[in-house]
Amino acid sequence: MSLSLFLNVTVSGLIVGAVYALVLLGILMVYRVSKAVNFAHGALGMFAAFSGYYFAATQGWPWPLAIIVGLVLGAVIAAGTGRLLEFIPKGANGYDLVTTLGLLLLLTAVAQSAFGVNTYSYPALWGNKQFSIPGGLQINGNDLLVLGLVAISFLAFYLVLARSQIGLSIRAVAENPTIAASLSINVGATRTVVWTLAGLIAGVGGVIAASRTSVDALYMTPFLLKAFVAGIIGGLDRFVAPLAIAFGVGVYENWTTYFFGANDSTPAVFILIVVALSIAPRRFLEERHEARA
Amino acid sequence: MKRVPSMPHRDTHAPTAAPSVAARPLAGGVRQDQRLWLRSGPIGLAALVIVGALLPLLLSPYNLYIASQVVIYAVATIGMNVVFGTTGQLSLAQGAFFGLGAYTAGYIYLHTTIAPIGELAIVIAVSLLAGLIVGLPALRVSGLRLAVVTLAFGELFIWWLNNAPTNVTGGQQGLTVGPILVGGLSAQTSGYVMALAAAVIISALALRLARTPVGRMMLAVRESEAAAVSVGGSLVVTKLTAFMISACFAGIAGWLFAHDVGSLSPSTFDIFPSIYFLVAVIIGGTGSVLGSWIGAAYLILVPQAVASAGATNLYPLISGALLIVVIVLLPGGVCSLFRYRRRPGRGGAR
Repeated sequence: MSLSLFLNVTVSGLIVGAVYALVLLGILMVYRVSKAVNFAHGALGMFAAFSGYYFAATQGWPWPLAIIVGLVLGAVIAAGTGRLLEFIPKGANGYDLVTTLGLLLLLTAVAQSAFGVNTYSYPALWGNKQFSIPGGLQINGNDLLVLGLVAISFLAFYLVLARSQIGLSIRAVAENPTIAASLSINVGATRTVVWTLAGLIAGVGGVIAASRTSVDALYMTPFLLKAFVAGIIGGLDRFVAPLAIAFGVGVYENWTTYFFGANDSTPAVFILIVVALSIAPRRFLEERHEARA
Repeated sequence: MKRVPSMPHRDTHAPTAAPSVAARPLAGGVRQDQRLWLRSGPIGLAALVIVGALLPLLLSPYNLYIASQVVIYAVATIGMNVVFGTTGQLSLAQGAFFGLGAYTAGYIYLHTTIAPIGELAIVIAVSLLAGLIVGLPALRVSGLRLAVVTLAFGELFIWWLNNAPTNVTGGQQGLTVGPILVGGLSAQTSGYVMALAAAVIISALALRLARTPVGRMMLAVRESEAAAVSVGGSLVVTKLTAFMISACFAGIAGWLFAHDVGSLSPSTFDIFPSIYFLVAVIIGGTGSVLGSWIGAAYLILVPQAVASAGATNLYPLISGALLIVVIVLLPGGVCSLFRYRRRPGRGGAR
């Protein structure tokens, strides 16, 4: 195996992994403050990307404006979902999950009734320009832009969380909502901010994923599943481990596709879950605040 | 169809609140609950048998088909309720168990000459084994991680259906299965009668389960694993039993489904049935057999009602919105409407 082949398969795996990590980031943010896994996260991204497509392709808006409006729409729906979860009584096991599943069904149905079951091709965000890098690595402009957007999202997220006043509130709410409330932090509003940010990130992830594949109402499902896989292996109450594993899942998947073909990547990812869960030490698997779904 | 809300028994796990005493404050309602259960459980089952037996005389063949769908989905939903409602293990593999039962039945029907009763026995054996395997991760992970792992099992099942040799699963085309005829009845009536008989037996078993030691231990595990272990329970036995029972019920439902509907394809058993079974449990009422029936009726009858109103495309829209509305307005599930009073301390110590 030549070095250039190794580099190409690994790097394109890392780029896919970056998309998984971006999708996972939104899920982790929401999980930290609301203790809910947002099954509709992928559908939110899909909806934002589709809305952008709709405004640009059928209404004739310029693409940047259309995409931004789509992202805002996704963020607003996410914020609404976050508000809705506040109404669920404490201890109602599984209701938040079913609410997000309901949102998943709802958004998928809206997209399907608006666009039918056809697939569409989303414009590549930055042309098909190819760059050659010493070592035989080929990378196209769209992939570079993806990496850039993911890096900017991560950096922005880190700065907000670590350096800003609202980031402090978010960390307080994630740690202990009751104590945070007693320190006059508005817990509900903080959660809404997190849901809004997560919805925005979901939209960015949706647009990025759309620029890489053909698009129908369910195109985010594989991305969401891989993000979940990284989340369950790495744990939902941390950030570094699951996000690193998301990159790993992308590389692993790309290599299994290279060796066994795209059709067999489903069982390959599945085997990864089973192996990871059976060899990981129990302490790593137990969550600090065990959330009953 | 008035049959469904005709089992006015109380929440089935109410009489067994005692073992989970560590996690739940009791407010003197136990004895009364127990008496109510003794009164209403058998009455509910008798009402189910009587109303169920009358339906073939009253309904058109198509409506009878819909009724048998409700009954079949009720069987699978009761299974979902055992693992999620009673034991608190969030499993999203129920659709896969359902499909496994259906495909096992289809394969045996098409490739062997085994009699229906032997077919059922094999379906049950396969389902129990599948439940055991899928239940194993529950020993190491819980909550949402378990949901995703079981979801992955479901994905693997769909992948296998699509990629197995075509003479086993039929690939994307699926399998075509014939009906099992009972006595001199028509195919439609036979399917209904078999489904009803199975559903009555399984409802009775599920009601009975809450009063057995392992059933009580399931409730204890749901409330607090640490408390369950501290009174001498085995997490391994309890969780695996719950998964095996739920897989077994889903497999039986799949067996009924295969012979009643007649055509099986991978898309029937993808991730969405698992979600729908969870939806049925939560809408109907967690941990309640009556709730399972209500949830199954919701799953089948609401799409029918929307379709007969001439708006098939609207169903997913309405269902998503309705789901959110029901959850916010009726947190105890629809069966909480039939409770005489709210149990005190519900979920208080969770």
